[in-house]
Amino acid sequence: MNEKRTAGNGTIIYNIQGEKVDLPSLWSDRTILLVFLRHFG
Amino acid sequence: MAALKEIKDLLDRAGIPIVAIGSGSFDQARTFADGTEFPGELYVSPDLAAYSAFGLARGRLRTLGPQSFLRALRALKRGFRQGSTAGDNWQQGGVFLLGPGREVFLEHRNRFAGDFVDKKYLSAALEPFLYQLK
Repeated sequence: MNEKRTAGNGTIIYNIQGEKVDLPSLWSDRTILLVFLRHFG
Repeated sequence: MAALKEIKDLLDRAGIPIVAIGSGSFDQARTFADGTEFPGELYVSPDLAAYSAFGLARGRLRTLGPQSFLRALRALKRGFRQGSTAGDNWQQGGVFLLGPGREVFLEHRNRFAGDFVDKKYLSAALEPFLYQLK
């Protein structure tokens, strides 16, 4: 596929310490498998 | 979780980390991370904003509908037992292989509970990364 597009700009998530993280920063400089969990458990 | 642990070895060989986002609270996320030895980074989107940004589905029928029921039965037959859960009950998940920057190599949005990404589809998307390492 290898599409180019933007997702999640301006979206804030949190690490488990409660610190804010800009969502796109997760993959800005690396390839990741981003998994959205349906629930914890 | 079980599916993630199954593909962890392949991801390790490709040098690709698992980054997961959940919909519960920080305490629920910490409990989950400690209890499952989650094999990756863990984040929380309590307001579901990250789920919305990726266009992921949400709805009662997607969790409780007949397709979800059939997948749950199939999982039970395979010996999987779902323990207690935490997070938004109606929010569906998804999987994306992406980055750096705006590169997207795979996208899968769960249509209903149990609609996980096909492992063959994921393996095929990872193949070029494994090839690069040879």
